[in-house]
Amino acid sequence: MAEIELVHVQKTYGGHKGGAPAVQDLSYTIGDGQFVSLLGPSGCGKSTTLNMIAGLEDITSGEILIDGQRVDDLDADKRDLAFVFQDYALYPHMNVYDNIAFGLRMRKVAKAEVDQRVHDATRRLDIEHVLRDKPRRLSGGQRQRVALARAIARRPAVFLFDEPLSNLDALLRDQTRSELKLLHAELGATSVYVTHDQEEAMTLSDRIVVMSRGKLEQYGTPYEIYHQPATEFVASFVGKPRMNLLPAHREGDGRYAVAGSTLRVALAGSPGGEVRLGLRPEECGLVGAAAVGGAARDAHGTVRVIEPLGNASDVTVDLGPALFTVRVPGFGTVHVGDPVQIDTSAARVHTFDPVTGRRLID
Amino acid sequence: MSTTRADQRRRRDLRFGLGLSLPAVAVVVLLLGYPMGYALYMSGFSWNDKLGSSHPFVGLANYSELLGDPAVHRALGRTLYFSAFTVLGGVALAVLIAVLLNTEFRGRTLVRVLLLVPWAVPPVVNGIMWKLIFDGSSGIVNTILLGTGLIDTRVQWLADPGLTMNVLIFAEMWKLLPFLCLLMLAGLQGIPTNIYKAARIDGADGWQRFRKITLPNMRGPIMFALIVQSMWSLKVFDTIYVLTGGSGGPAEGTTTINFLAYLVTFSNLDRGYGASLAIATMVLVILVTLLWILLLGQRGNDRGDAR
Amino acid sequence: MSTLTERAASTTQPRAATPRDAGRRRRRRLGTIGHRALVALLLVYLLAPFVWMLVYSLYPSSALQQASPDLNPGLLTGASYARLLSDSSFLVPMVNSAIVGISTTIVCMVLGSACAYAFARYRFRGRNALLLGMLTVQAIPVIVLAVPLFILLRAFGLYDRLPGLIVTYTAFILPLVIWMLVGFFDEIPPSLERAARIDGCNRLQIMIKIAFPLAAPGLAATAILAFITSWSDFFLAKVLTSTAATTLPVKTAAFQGLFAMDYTSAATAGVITAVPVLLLALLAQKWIIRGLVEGAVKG
Repeated sequence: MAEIELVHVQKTYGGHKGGAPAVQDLSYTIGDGQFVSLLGPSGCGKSTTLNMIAGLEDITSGEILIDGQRVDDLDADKRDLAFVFQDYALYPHMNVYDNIAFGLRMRKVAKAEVDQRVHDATRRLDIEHVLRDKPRRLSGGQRQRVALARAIARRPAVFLFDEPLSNLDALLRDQTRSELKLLHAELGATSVYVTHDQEEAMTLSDRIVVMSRGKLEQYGTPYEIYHQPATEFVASFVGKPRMNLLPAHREGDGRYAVAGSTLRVALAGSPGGEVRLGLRPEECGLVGAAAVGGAARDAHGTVRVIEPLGNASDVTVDLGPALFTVRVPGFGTVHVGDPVQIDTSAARVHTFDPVTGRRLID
Repeated sequence: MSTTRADQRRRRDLRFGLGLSLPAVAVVVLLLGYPMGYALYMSGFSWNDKLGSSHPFVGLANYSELLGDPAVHRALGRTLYFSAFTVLGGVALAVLIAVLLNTEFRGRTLVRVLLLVPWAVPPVVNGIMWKLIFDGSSGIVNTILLGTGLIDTRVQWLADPGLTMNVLIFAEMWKLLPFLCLLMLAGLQGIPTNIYKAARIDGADGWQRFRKITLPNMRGPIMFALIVQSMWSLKVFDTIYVLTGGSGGPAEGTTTINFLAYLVTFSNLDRGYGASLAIATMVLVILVTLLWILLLGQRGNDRGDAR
Repeated sequence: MSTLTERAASTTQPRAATPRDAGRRRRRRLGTIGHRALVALLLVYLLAPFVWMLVYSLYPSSALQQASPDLNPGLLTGASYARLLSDSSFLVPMVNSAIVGISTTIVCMVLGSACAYAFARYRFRGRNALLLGMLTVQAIPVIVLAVPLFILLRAFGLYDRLPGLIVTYTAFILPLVIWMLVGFFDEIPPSLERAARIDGCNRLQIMIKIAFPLAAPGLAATAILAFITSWSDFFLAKVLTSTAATTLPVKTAAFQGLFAMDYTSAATAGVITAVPVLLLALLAQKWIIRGLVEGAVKG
């Protein structure tokens, strides 16, 4: 049982009078056995939050509870958690066996039990054959597994991950990602995972905490984050290619005009006079202006760039005041310079307050 | 309360750090600071053990005396001559040799290892070595020169004041040059090779690449080498002692300002004046260091990288 | 367009050799020969003086002082060494130097490594200033402190006693040790210490179980540097000792005289004084270079 609860957690460097807080008023609960990602750009405070949960950094104010017990008073090693570092933090002067056993021995675990756990963990991760090697002889992927094995052998209540995959090359990263997901399914321990890669967060997590500049932007399931982003930041950060975000004003009942262009979007309800409109590229379609009767003025814009990916192509359209990206299937039928019309009928339209960035309920 | 916890942790951290570092810092401060203060104190007295036991306080009289003392002026001149060669010549040569050694060649690692030999040789032994080589009656240099017919009578290297100074320079160069080369090599290796390739494409020839890329990027190491070598040159003692039998001669030929301080303090037993000389030497070292920093130090955030 | 295709065609076959190629090859070979010659010259420059002293110590002086020195290997003799090493007035300083060197090294390493670790791990205001201060201690000409130290040691009854030398050397060598070790401790990634914290180590355990083993090569090199510095000192030993605690460099320097000089003994003494530190330096050369040179370049 390991439910993690953060209550009004705040962290300011330089004591109470220092500058802007690195982490501001975080309050949420991570359920027992859940895999939760802390997602955000660098400097948003996600690593700081992880370090506070781990006890590697002190909280300026607020509380952290694990299973209802306040832990922000406790030292890192008394909180029953394991930490996987971004650079793996393997002790170079010990071999793999000793690296994994070190924490267990410090906790006075019996020798036989230590041996069993080390072998268990390394077998599960398929690195049993390098037990006697020192870290410098191992490949990046192997070192990462040793770091994982060290965490698993501890059999902690909580796993903490600090961007563990970012030092791996792309292919290895995808592979290890799937393995991590499997591992979590097997072990079922509460896990907190820091990453700046939204794909990682989406594929691995039960819920995601999106952070920006020390503040909580949204805490929800991948579905909620993707389809109901709470702020403009979340909307633009999650989803690839990036969501199109454009200023728009109400033109009539249920119709909004994208500022400075001829693009009109149908919107039920009236969230406000001025809004920021969000449309996902993969939900929009492209219609060549020729199909609309050839009149150039019916086009919304001209095609600027086409980036073919194989199964789809990202087409960037110049609307005049801004660029708009549409993802079309296959290699598409348009060419650079073609006048086109953007079809938003099938898209889910997101609206955000132009000042606060908060989602406007539609 | 979490703030008390954080403060507690910080306090314990501080205590741990202080506990670890205090003994060492205390030793250094006491054992160096106290004598230094005492030396300053001594320099304010007229304290000559040869002249008896009364030590009247004379304030800055010793300092004003040394400013006008012709022996001091001569020593300064010699020191300047010596330093010009060893510091400027040494660093310049070191840069060139380092460039030479910076390419791949067979035995390169061996050479780099052997560069440490002169550095490791104790200064006293350095003096003996070069005395053996340059001695007037039995040194090997005379034997070689006579043998090849370049001279007809033995040169008394160590009996002529000017020649002795040059032998001193030669001896000290031997000892310091290799270490400076190592410093310069390390500096050179810090320069990414890509920018040389870019310069080649831009059409720069070898000499231009040296001037426009190598030298600017070596500013830090060169400044460090100049500072360190200036310190060493001003502090030279052992070699002079052994080469000249403790006299600093012949006829004061190798009496640098540092050696003069020694002679005054221990030969003339004039402790007060000697102390003021010693302190003056130290001030000179500090001034030269500041000079180098002023001339070559980084100005603001401009790192002069060729990136 | 056509020139491009032409060139494309010709790159499929090897280009025919031109006279310019031959010239370039010749220049490169000359360059390499010149380079090799310069390197050989450098090697001679580095080794010759010491080798000559070595040779001088192994031959009877009569053979070497002729107009053309007789280097017949049959004349090689260790007589000078045997003579010096059986003379107690030479052996005593030798042993003294060893004792003082080892003791100074131990004291400096114990005090210095703890202090350096604190400086490296716990950033505090004035840390850089203190480190710079350690470096500026090297600027102090020893002559400044000679007489005060003499008076100080005399007052404590440590004049001409080995502990007196040890204490003095410690004061001078400690700053250098600290400066070098801070550089080595700085290289340890902080995530390792964090991992150790999570694994349950307290501060002392982190220092001893993680930091020291990882900095071990640097620690060894610094210890060797401390020993070399202590062993090589001449001036302080001369001023602060007379007969009982005199050290090897002082004794070796005594072999020189202004007019008459026993060159062979001087050479022998010189070799004996130099060899231990030479060997140590060569042993630790990789790490000494890293610590001294690269620390300097970064600073």
